[in-house]
Amino acid sequence: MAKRMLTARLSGERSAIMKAPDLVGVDIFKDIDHKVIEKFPGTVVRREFSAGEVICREGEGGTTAFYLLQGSVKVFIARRLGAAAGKERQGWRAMVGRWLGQKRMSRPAHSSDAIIPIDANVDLTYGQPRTTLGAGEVFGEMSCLNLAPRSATVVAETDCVMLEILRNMYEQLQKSPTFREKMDANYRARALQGHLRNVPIFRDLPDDVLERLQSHAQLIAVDAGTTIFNEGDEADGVYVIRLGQVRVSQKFPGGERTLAYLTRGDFFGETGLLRRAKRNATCKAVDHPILEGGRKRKPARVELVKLAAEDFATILDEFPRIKGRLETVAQERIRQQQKARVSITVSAPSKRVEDLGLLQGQNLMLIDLERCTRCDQCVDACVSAHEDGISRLFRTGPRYDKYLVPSSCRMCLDPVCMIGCPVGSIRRSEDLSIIIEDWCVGCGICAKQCPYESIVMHELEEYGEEVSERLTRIAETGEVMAVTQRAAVCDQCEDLPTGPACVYSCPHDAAHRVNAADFLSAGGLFAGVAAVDSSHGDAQGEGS
Amino acid sequence: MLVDRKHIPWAVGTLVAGGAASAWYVSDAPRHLNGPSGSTLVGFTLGSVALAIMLFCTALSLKRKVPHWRTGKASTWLRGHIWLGLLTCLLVGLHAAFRLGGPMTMLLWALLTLVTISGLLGLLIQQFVPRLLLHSVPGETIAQQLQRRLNDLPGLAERVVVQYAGGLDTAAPPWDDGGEIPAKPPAGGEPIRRFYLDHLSGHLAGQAGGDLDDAHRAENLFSALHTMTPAHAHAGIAELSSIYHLHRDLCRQRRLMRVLFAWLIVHVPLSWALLVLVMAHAFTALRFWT
Repeated sequence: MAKRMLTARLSGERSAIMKAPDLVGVDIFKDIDHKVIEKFPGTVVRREFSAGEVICREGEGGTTAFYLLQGSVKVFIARRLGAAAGKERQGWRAMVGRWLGQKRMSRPAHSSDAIIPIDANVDLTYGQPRTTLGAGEVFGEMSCLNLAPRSATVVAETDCVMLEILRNMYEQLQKSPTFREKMDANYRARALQGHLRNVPIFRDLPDDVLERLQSHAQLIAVDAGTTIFNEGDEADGVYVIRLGQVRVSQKFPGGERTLAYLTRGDFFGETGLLRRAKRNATCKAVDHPILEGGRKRKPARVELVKLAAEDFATILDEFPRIKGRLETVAQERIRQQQKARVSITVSAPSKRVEDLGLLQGQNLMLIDLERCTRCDQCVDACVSAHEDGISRLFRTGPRYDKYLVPSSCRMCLDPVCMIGCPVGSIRRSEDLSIIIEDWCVGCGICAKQCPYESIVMHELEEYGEEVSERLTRIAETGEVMAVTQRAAVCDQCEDLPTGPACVYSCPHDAAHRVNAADFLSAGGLFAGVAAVDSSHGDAQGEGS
Repeated sequence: MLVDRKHIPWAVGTLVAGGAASAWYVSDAPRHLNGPSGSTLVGFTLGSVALAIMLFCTALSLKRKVPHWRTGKASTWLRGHIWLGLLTCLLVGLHAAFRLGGPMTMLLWALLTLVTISGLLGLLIQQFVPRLLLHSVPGETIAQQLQRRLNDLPGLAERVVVQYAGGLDTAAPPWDDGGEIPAKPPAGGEPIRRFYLDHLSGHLAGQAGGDLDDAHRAENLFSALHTMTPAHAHAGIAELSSIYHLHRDLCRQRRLMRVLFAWLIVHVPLSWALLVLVMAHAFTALRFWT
């Protein structure tokens, strides 16, 4: 089907299917036998684009990779540019507003150098979500191999020529030493340093130390489904994800909890660098979700950067001045991880509980229907608390006993919504809530993945006049056609001093956020509710 | 709001405050030759406190406009609204020395009485109606979608009738969404078509006085229909029955929701009217205080 789509786009003289003789002069096809190319006819198409022409748009489906032969392209996330248009208010009104929990006046949560991973050998940053790619570079690898949606918008900066490649040919390319060397060199030159800087213990290292680290980094690849290491294994180094996704999970009494799905630019196993402690989590390479109705595919590759503990020790011997500082950072990381551990103890849940997926909920929204007067204050509060004016709470869903389990994020033990985000914009915060960053490209994978319909895709036009105007302007300049939607999920109002606005604003004490395990375990339903609510009350100093 | 154990401190506080105010009033009353009034220190103080409480009670409407602002939990505000609101009645009585006064103060008394009674009625309703909704409306939907779902039901029922009885008497089917219509419907579906035309369509359209208004009668009609149709049509009857029951549920929900919110139609505007008049009363009283 992808091949049909690829060839269907051929038009006029600006596109042409490449045959084996046509690819003779192309460096990345140097190692590939002509017979292999002839075995997959129509899988490589030469395309020409004029300056300003859009090559692909963020959030769209894609099945091909592009190899740039001539010219250069601009790569950017229009959504992020749009969001950045919001003005931050200043002065006493902003101060009062912040104190009163008025979210619209809150400050951005990211530093400008935070990485936004995209499907290329470069990354964007939060402050500057645009970059340029030149001849000899590849983009769209994840779309090609894993059917991931396009992670960024690509527009021809100059007139350019490129090869559009389908998966079966791209897999042949991956076996080619020349192609691998070229890709590795590009990655080392353009992205590796940024990825290493993303690891907290490396963040403040001097450039000379980081360069030594880069030279020792090994680029490795594993198939999806492979366990990279198990909880309890001896730690042997730190890993940074170059391509693909990794699931991090921990065992608990009574179950296993997924701590995170990590994506390009994320890291894991860093405490193992300094201390030969045992691994405190299991890390497994995972595939992207299959978008097209369960079609069988070969497992995707997950590419990693490994920095072995031995190599790091050697470097530290060369630079003893930084050793003490790193030890402090590592200790802090271990302390944070220990803090995040909570026990899961639920004995013999009923079938109804299993059917409703209640046990997934680490922070389950419940509405006591004996108290609820259906006034919708909870929904209004949710709308009011978010700057996009979109409710993350819908007062509809299954009932359990006298409670309604509304459509709102449960902070699942296994947050499958996090699998497959092409730009890593969905993540878990330290308090386990799910956050969707403002560089979401609106592909909708997370919403499709969520089993409880708790992620809302909403039209960007609803995002407010200011942002819409900016996007329209961007569209008019010919850089990009505006992305029309983005995802929103309950973030537990993490940056509001009051806690979740829905619970805070319920006049009838009917809305609750509970840990499902506590809620269902011994002590009964009401005990579970009381336990969580009292903790909120204490935090706010407001008894009632 | 359910009146539960969390109300005990508020109830006790209200009783203590009310008792203290009454004691002060009683001890002060003999000192005045013309008896206690709003212009004495006690009367003025209690009136001022009552006005402050009225402002607080009315501010609940404003708090709802900014629900997530850190101005206190909404449930705490509502408890305060209820109990301090009740205290106001006593304070106003003490302030006015339990006299009706002139036309203005009589109007104020009338409004205060209506606001208090409507509020208490609302509180009473909230003790029962949410439970009724929980237990008697299993198919409850959100209020904004209620009418839409009710509007969808005739179409759903007609589709079932077409599937099992081959069509209605009307020339053109009322739906137009590309649904498949069987070319030759199963035999024996005529009772379903008749039942729909004679009973169900009118009921779903909201016509009162039909046989299906009564649940027992409806059960009998569905049972009779069951015996009149061949086995292959029983699934269709089950579908019609579930549509009928959903319609009953949604209509019941609509009635209960009206009951749940009707008191606000009186309570809210009269509260604002009361506040405006009380402010005018206070202004006039201070302006001409001698």
